[in-house]
Amino acid sequence: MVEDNIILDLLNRSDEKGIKLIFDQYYRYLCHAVYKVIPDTHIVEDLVQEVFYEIWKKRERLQINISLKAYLRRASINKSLNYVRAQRMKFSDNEDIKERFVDDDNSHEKVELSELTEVINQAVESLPERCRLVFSLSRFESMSYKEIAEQLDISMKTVENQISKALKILRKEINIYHKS
Amino acid sequence: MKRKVNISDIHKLITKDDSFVFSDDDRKAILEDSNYESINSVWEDSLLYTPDESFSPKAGFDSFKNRFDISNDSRSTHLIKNAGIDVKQKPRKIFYLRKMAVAASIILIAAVVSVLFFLNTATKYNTNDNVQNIAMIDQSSIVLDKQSTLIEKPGYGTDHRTVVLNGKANFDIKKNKDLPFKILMGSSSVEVLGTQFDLSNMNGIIELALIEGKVRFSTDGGESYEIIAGERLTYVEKTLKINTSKIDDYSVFSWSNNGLRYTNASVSHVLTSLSQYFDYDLKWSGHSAELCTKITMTNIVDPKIDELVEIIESIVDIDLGVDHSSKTIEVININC
Repeated sequence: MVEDNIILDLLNRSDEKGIKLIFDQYYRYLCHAVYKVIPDTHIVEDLVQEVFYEIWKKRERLQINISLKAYLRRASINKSLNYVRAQRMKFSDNEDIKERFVDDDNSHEKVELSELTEVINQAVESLPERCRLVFSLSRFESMSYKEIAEQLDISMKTVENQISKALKILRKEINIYHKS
Repeated sequence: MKRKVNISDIHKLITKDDSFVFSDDDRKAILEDSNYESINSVWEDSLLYTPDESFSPKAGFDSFKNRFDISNDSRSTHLIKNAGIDVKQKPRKIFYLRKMAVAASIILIAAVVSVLFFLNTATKYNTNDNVQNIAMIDQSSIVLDKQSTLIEKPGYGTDHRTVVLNGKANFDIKKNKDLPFKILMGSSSVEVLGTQFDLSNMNGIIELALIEGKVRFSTDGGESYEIIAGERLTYVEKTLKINTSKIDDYSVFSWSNNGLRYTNASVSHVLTSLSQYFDYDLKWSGHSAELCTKITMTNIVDPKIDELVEIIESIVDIDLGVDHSSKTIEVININC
């Protein structure tokens, strides 16, 4: 793990190694964080790469007062929320829960997870899109109802409904696991 | 009339969303609601969500370079342009000088980092015969048992939250998803996902008992286990053996209350841990306690050895003797 100040120094000096190190150390972490908000691998990779390019563009005057990791996460999540807003994503509140166990073909590539983690993964990924987005912003980005409503341009009541819906679905899926 | 509690009310209370203020009555109603436990548990469990997708940094970097032309923009190009040399030529000398300059810079940075590292030395807590309460800068609290050492690495709380433990401690960790709390112990480590637990690293045997939340235990060999509340993990460094089990017979030192807590614990376990806690020798020969009732004692604040022995004798049919001058607890008779 290379220290932030060394990476920033390389960037300040326009050394490509700086950006390569950012990829090596933070790319996977940031893609996973953004994927929780936008579950599309291609969009996720595009967005994270765009964040890195913005860093590269302002490399000579880059000043970061928090850890580089925290800075990049915040920038990536903001970028993904901008994307959501720009796309004016339309969600159907009545969207059916997606089929479980849809994609098992790449099981050999999957990280070994505990059974419960696997159940949680499937349950979160089975949530309707808007429900999942609202839930993820609350759970993984610690955003308040007010912040989520502002970011997604929806009412607080909608946030409330989507959170309740997500928790009920997750509880049902986890209960099935515990009973089986 | 009792307040109607929605799932989102429970969620708002759990997440401490400051957009909403609950009165004491509302708070009580939410905490007593039949859905509270299950929703709280779902909320905790959902933190385990880890996307399966594998994102390759190398492929990402290649794609990045195809999308954005950074090479024309980099320092090497500037140097070449400034030197008036055709980019197609091999600018060996300048490239060599550039490499030397980069190497010198890295050495200089490494030297500065090393100096800063030594100036900003690690904080070491070393207990002898006393238990020590440690308030960390990130509002986590650690209670370090007797004869234990905890090292707080430089940059703790700002750059990372990594400590090194040798001995036994109770951890109550403040959640911070950007800086996960990590405990290093020889060839293994525990990464904390926001929780309370007991951890000991003594004589190459690591024992982890989880009270709340979840932690991830990893070894240098690449094995990784997620342990949830109510589970225990034991790892023997010498044999690399890992064993996980449900906690159905355990004792937990409730350090923050300067007391002890036992849940469904065996007599031998209680007496052994008491002797360790008070630093008394345990004399026990020829008596089996296998058939004795399990012991549960909670919230024993400021425990006194004589009082505890009396309590144990009232729960289990056992005669115990305590000799303070020789600091000994003796099992005189067991009638279970």
